[in-house]
Amino acid sequence: MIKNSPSILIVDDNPFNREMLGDILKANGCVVDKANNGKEALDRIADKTYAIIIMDMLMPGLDGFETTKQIRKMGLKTPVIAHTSMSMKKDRRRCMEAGCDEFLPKPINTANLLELINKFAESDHQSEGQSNVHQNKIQHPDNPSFNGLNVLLIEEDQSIRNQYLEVMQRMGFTVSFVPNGNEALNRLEENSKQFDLIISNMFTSGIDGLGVLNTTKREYPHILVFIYAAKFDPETLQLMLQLGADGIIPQSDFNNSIGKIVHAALSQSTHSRTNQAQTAFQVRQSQARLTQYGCSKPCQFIDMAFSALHDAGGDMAQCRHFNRSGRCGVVLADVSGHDILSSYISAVFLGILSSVWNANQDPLSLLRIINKELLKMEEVNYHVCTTVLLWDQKKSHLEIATAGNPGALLLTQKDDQLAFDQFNGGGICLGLLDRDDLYTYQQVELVQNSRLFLFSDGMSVRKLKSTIKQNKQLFLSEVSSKRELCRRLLDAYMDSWSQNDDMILLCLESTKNNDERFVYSFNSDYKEVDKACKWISDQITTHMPDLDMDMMMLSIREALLNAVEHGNNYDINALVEVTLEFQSTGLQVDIADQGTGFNLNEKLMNSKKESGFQIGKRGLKIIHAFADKIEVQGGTLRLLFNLS
Amino acid sequence: MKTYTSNDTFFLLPETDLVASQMEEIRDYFMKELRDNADVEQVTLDATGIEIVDSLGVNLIIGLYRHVSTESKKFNVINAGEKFMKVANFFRFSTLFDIEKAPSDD
Repeated sequence: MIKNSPSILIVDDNPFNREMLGDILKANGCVVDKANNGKEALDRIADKTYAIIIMDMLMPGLDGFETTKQIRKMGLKTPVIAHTSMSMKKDRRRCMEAGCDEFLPKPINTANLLELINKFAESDHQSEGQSNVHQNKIQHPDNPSFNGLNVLLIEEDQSIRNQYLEVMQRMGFTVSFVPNGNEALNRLEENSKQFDLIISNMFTSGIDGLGVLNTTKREYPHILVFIYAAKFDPETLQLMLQLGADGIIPQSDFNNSIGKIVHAALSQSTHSRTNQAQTAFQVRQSQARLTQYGCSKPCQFIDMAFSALHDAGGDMAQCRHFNRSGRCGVVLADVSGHDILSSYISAVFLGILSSVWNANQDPLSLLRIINKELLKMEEVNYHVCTTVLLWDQKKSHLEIATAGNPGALLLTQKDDQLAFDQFNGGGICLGLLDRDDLYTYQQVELVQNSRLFLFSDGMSVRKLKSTIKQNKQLFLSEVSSKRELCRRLLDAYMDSWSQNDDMILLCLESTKNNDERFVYSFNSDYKEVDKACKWISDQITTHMPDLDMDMMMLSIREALLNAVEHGNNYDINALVEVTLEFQSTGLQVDIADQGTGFNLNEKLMNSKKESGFQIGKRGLKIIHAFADKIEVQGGTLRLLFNLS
Repeated sequence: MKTYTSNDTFFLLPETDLVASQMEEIRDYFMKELRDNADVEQVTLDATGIEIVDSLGVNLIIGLYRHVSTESKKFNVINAGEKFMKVANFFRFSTLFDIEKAPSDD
């Protein structure tokens, strides 16, 4: 006998199967209800709570797959046992994907059936499922009620507005309205927590429905957004879905469809949250790795802090030190959505970034190549807001490109005064369009006593400025650790403002100029090598006029050729950077390319094996013969020439 | 750059540094000239005007020497400046072919 006399719903279009199953279960102490098809099953489920559902998967009309999906959309966790003659592995997987919990093949095996029923009857699914229904106020989709949900309706036309107000109020919504997107965003700025849903006409004056959708999903992700219009062109429709619209409502059928569409979105949202919770632990662990410094030692000039709100997806920040002469890159990215797939996209993004970054240090190139790679994942409609920065610390020179992220904030300190300069952000997010001309690009000089803040869209520039002003003492006094600055600011930000999204704050501090260093960059071309050699010999003549530099220059020239040919693989767009440092004991020359570097000892060993007339790979024989010391770190070759 | 023939000797005059940026042009020109003047007995590289020789330049000189040697002809270098000689000495060119310094360097 089955314990607890569970209440079981048998859904099967075949009366013989229904009766046989019913008889077995009743004989074992179960309470049985029967439904002839999917629709009837949904009606019964809406009226009564069951401990277990046995579902025939192949039925005419609403089949078992669709019915199970509907049950899950309603937020019900009642165990569903798929009962089917389909016995292939792929059939089993399809059943599980639809939301079934177990698989019972036909013809029926009574022992297996009772074992499964016992398993679920002992668990606490019934009460859990029931409480879920009440907590979430999930109703049958044909007759939804939305008591307690606050809607902001955006509609200019008064007669349409009144009509929709009446429909929605009748369904239990509490409705406020504004005529256009500008006023809607003002209302959200005042108090975003006041609203659960936005329902907007696609076409309003000022900021339209698309603008409202975009901003809301960035700034107030807890609000569900629904857009309606008389007609949608396919491109706009796709863009709205990619921007995260929770529902698209055909205006011609607004009155009939609004309830179902909102209900489905709410159910989906509930179901997603349940799924997320199950994987939250693992995802949270992975999430912590998304924000990383690129150097093994803490960087003196880059500081980061983050505060995660969601279990999945979220913000990422990475920096990478490209060479010894101070060129480094920073990437700050935010994947749309906060589900497990957005975490997957984060991982894909980081994989792409890691493999292409060295060879595409230029910010715009990097955005373009990542976009191209993301678009190859055609079936995944996720996008990534991204900021890429290339920093030449020696020259305090910065290049920033953004794809959908807010612009950077430059803070300059003069005595006890703080001045702000906001740079343009925006541009189209990566992974959305096969266009690479829609990013923003700026060059910034990070002069002494200035800091550049980068942040994700979880933070607003206005609030950040305000937080900085309120915590001015952090900049005026000596902060014990540079890393604490962003942490302290972020904590202060969260004390003053509510957190609605993941937040990441990154600060770059100006570096002090070293007057003994001289830097020259050139594109990877042989003629540019000649010019670089001319520049280097001029510098040496100026600073060390008595030096015999013939063979030294030969060595340096070979190192430059090595950078062009092997490091940058003749890519004209890839830079080679030369840094000269004149020291009391001699000259240090750093030649940095965008390659990954090489194993010096191994190459020298191979070079020795070659005959005297071969010159060695990478010109190493010449370089090695005339430099007093060679070091290789990543793509940087350092040559040391002693004065003696 | 130019070439000329005198007393069964074919003279090659790059009149420029033997460096990567010049290499393709010099190599193509000299190889064509050598093919067109296959009946000479000796090939001489006149190093007048050559100050810098990088690894590609070294490869060119070694390549010319090999090409000429396979046709059982003689190869030598004349008018080598001080900087040219430093490279020539490093790579021990003189063990392969004769090198004559420029008069001003004597």
